[in-house]
Amino acid sequence: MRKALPTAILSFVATIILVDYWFKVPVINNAAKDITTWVSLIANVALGLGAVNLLLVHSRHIRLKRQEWGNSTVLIALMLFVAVVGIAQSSNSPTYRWIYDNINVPIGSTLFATAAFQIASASYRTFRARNVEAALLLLTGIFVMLGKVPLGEMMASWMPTFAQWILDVWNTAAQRGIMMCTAIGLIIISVRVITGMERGHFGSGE
Amino acid sequence: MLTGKYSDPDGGGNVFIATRVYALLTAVIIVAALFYNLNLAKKGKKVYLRRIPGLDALDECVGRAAEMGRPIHVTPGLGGLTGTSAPQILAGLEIQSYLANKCATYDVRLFCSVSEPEVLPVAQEIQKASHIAAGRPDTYREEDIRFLSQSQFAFASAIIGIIERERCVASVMIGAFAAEALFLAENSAQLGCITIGGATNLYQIPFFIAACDYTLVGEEVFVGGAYVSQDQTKIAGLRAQDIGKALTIAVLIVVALYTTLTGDKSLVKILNM
Repeated sequence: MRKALPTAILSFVATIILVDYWFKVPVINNAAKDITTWVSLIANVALGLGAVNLLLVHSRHIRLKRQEWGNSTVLIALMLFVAVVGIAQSSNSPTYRWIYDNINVPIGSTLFATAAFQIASASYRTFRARNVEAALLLLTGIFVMLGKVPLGEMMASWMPTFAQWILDVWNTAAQRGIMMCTAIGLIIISVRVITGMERGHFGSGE
Repeated sequence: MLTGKYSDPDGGGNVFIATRVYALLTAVIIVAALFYNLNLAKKGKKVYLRRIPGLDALDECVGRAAEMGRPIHVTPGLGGLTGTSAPQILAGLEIQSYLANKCATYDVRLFCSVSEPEVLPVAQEIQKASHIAAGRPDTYREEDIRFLSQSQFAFASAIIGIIERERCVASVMIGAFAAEALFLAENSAQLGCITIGGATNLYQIPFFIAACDYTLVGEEVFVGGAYVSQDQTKIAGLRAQDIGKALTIAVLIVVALYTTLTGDKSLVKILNM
């Protein structure tokens, strides 16, 4: 019953959404619209659940004085402050926007900027000619990188064209292959989940 | 009460939406192949499954964690149970389920981080059920499954914080990932973790390949549940997947040859519908 009821609800709802995609049956189409609205409502209710989880986990850290409990204090204080500002003044208020634009956005951008250094260190580990495949990857990487900078063109006039050919033909072909296989995999896993054949996400012993 | 307002996508008032006929045809063929193979599996036909090192390495992670007495971290990535990321998240939860069973059996602590609140109760239930099934309900800790943030870099940096503080020996990242993939994988590797990544996002796969010890590419993300369970009915789905791939390749070859030899692009137009 613990798995059968959620599976039955899932199958029923998914059938409505699938029929809505291919057929024009007003009752089903309107029901599908309602279901998508309910999804937003459930997601918003679940946000409260997430906030409670954050409060529980971090208040325990503070109570037990665990490693870096100071960070938990800052997190809870800021979370409550932003929530109060958002509820009291709305999420479009200047104060709320200021917090978002001057704290959230710069921190996100800074972390994203570190990707340049991370790709350098990851490439250093990966681009070693340990076997044939790795050697091919290394060679291809060298050609593409050289083809994309002026130095490559200075070394050989054909370098940019060759690099672009690798990207347009070999790279695109592989990407499309992965994309099509992923799409087929998506269909199979969706059918398995909808029909209740795949139930590992319900847990225990699957 | 039904209150939704529906707008006709292609007009005309027909019951069937004609522009979506090929999507329906593809789905019907693949679903038919799935049920045909399921029937064969029930009759006892075994299907050969090639090795996937990334999934074999899950046991290695649990073994190493048990030996060292240190935890593992797993995340299904950035996304919820609705929308386009849902199948990847469910595939990630399948992996979490497998790891949770193994970890509960060998008394290894498993941290799981989610980015959408609606995934949290599902992930908690998976872990709780695994501990109960292993006969160790007392070792289940609700605090090990955490909602971190919906913001991608806050989510990623919080995971790295957990991995560093808890000294995790392995970081399993199979599911839906975006720009935070490299950040997660590379920092996990720098912290000395065994790293297993899996994504269907074409732009993130190269980052996982570069930064992770093992990588699941594209469709391999969806085979996790079947592969680790070795359940023949689940493996039947993978055979249907292969039939779908073979058909796609055959159609592409026929259309490419026909278009090249005749110069007629009508088949290409049909495929673009």
